Amino acid sequence: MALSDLLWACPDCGEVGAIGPEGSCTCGVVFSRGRGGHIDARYPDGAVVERTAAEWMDRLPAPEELLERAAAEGEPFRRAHVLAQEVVGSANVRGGGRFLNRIERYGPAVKGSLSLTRDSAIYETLDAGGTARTWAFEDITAVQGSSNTLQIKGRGQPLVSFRFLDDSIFLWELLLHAALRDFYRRTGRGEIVEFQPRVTTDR
Amino acid sequence: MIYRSAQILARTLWPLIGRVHVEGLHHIPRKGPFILIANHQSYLDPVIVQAVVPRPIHTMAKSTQFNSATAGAVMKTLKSYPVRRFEIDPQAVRLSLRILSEGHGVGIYIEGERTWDGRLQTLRRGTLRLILKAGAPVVPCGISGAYHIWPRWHHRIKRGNLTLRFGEPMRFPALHTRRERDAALPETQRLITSALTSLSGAEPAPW
Repeated sequence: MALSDLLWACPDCGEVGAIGPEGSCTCGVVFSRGRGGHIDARYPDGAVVERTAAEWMDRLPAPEELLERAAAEGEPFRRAHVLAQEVVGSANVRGGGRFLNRIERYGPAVKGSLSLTRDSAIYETLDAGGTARTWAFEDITAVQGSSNTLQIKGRGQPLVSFRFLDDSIFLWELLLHAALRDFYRRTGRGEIVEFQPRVTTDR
Repeated sequence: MIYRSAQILARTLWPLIGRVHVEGLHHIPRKGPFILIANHQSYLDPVIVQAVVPRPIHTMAKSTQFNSATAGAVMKTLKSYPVRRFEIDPQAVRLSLRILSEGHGVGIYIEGERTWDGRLQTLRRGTLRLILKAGAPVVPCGISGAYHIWPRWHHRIKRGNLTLRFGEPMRFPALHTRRERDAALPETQRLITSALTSLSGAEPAPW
């Protein structure tokens, strides 16, 4: 993953998605890995500021604030190009002479787009006549951020795993969480306390 | 035998990356079941934890790590077993309880995924429930420094020092009903979060 997955907005100018995979922001500040897990910001005047990743993260806007801004501009709130893989089956895993568990088997990766709206997440393939899959928020049973994919499970639907081609996976995880929380509050379902293995509320 | 060889290999190669400082290893019970609960800073965590803990640890790992035949074989050699994280997975719970009932150690990275910014993420309630169902001693393990060696957002390992601090075993009674376990969740979460932040030095993340 890239630094732009962590810094999904510029901590300096606040622009979302403005930092490229190499760490350069459109405002002229260049972010790069410094000592250990620290991050250096190199400003156009040559000044360098080093902070921990957490300190930089604290300067990013809250996901709820992003949703409010996006809502004012109309839907979809955000759209990204993705490689999607659906679970098509499962396989048994055995080890040490015993059954360990079932694991999921994924189908081929298909290029498409993922959109986030006020009440749903929508996946569309880029192929002509491509299929679309819509997850109304009330039907999403789990949201799982994995190493480099975001996974969505809908009621009665297979798990779909998304790899983001031009956007931050961390931003999508935060936005989807914030949008689901907002939906659950608006519809009187309670406060979400967990997004996996099942979306669960405090009720 | 292969597990032991992997331990020796990891210990031999680790100086290429940096030094490892270990504290409180005597808190690992000499015999009987235990659950080792650690924070998760990098891919290196399970390698180094399994390399230093004298007793074999059966580590719960995400199911996708078993997808390829080679990775799956390595995981099984290292006594890992899969858990499906996008749905309730009774088999992962059953197997964990069985391993504990056989007197072995189970290792779980309770945040469920590596930290993005070095802070401790929310603990997974499923793991807390498992702890409250098992009633086995819980050994907290705070990992620090691994994030600086290999943060989640960077593909390259940098040399650095890593510290593993094992805390005193924590005792949680085995609770037999879901209602009892749910009632005990907040306090269990508070105690384990407190142990992990104090041992690792990582602050809890705001999300």
